[in-house]
Amino acid sequence: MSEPLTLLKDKHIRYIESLDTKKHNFEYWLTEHLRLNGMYWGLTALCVLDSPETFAKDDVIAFVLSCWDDRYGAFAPFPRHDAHLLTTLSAVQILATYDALNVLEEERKAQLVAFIRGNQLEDGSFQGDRFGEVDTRFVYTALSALSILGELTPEVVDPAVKFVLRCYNFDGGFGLCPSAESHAAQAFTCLGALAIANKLDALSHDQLEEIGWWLCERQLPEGGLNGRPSKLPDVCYSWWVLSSLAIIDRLDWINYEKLTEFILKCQDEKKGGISDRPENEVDVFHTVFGVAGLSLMGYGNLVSIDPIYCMPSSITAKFKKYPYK
Amino acid sequence: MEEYDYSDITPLPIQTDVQDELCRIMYTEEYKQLMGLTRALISMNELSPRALQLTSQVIHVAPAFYTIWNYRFNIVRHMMAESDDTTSYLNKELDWLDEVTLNNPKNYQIWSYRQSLLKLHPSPTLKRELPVLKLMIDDDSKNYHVWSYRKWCCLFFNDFQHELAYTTDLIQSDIYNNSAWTHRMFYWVNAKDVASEVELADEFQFIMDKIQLVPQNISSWTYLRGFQEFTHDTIQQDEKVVQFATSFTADVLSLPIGSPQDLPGIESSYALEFLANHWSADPASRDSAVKAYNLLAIKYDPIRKNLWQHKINILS
Repeated sequence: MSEPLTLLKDKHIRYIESLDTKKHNFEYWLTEHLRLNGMYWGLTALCVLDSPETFAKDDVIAFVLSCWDDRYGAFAPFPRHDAHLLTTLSAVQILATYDALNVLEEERKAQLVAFIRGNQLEDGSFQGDRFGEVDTRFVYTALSALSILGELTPEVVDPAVKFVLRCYNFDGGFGLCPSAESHAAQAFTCLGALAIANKLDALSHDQLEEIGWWLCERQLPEGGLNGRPSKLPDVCYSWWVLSSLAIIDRLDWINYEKLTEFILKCQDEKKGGISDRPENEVDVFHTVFGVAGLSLMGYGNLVSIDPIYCMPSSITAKFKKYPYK
Repeated sequence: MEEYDYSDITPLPIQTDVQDELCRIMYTEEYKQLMGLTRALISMNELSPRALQLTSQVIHVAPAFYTIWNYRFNIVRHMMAESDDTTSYLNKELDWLDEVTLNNPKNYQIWSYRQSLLKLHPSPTLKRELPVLKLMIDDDSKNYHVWSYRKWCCLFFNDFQHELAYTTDLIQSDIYNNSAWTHRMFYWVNAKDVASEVELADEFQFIMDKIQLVPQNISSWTYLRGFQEFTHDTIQQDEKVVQFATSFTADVLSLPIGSPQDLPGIESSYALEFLANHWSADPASRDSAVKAYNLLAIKYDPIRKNLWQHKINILS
């Protein structure tokens, strides 16, 4: 028998650290269009592992600011790309994690808020940028970013909530838009958006029971979670399913022991990092969602993470909660 | 491919001004040249055939670079307005997009770009979309974006005539395909105002036939439950369905609950769950529901024992 599985904390910290040194760039940073998101995933993983200082704070903030897109008044994934909601949230999350939102100054903050609000459509949904891709991810992204900035308003929140509720499906899941197939990542974005809007009570008790059922039905006998019925398990759903269950206060419907074992089996024991499934190549995306999932289950001495914001709870505790007094 | 001259353009550098090593990336010379040229044209907002040609090249190497799709759309909209025949211009663009679509099954941007083109098109047709949709689903029968796009098309064209037969085919070839099952529910909910009792009864038979083939299938059981709810006011099949579900549970409900190892195997834990859920609605059958949940917790679906325990607590 091999030794019982444990979380290789130091190895994961070294792995994430290695990603921003010269030698690794291409294989890790994939392509430019994910760079700022990647930075957020890395930083959040380090926070959960209680090692945020592994990244040089000033360099990270300087990079975030270099992604500012002056034409649209928001953040792009990389200098000279177009601003987008997804990367704007990543930027705001990074700055908030460093307690550095003040680097934005009033003018930029106002532009940012206008950019986010400007992408809301008539039906309450959000497009990711002015090109018009609509997806419940963007509703979450918009509400989360505005919430972190303390700038939610009923004009934005009320129609957004209406739209999210239309994405609820007959099977107890949520889809990417009304009537799209239920998907675990969409459960997180929809429930997260409702939680931020303080509107979870728009769901009936029966609906919450159904949602909880659909979510814990994602656990397969081998312990891992899938994103849709009859799909393979993947570590990233350890975050999307668990956080969703945590938001509706039904986290213990998952078998912790089996899921923990599945996540730990996805570690690369040599170089650190976590992959989607055992024996696959690791990446920063699965690393953060793996450790964040473990944190939600109270594993080891991991730093507590907020299931709504996917940021350290000590940081989100300082956010102004909507509706504002 | 037509050759265009770009020699008057000075490529914009793609390195950032930030001097640290945090985000340096190693580019090939060719990639650098292409991106530099693109950035220069974007910054001048040049809307021309050669700019369009360049976006094709960029999309070929970096299809997820969404800025390029935005830029391409602006070019197309501009050039379409200048062309004599908008329809054939947009059809040509759709032909090009079909090609890109088939080569990039996981790309998101393609689908919203497609929607934007159809909204721009003076006479769009569903017929034109069906072949590429079919090829994409043949290639990956659970591709989330393709299914979402198919739904969008049904609603956009208000045309559902192909959907029932199409999902029948897909379920035939993979009975576990949850995307096909949920698309079928989408059909019933959206296709028409009223379906006849005969149609609904046929559909119940269809589901039961599929469950008979593969009893342990979450998708068909969830669909059954959803369809039962959907038809509740029109057609009563509860008794038949309960009897049907019971046939997969090896009579465990009539056995005393002893230790798990003494209990026999059953064909479908979902059948047991279906019965438990059905019985919990009626106080007269609550004891049966509790027993079924108990069996799930100790033997037939123990990984979710906390959920089943929760259901028991609610009932007791």
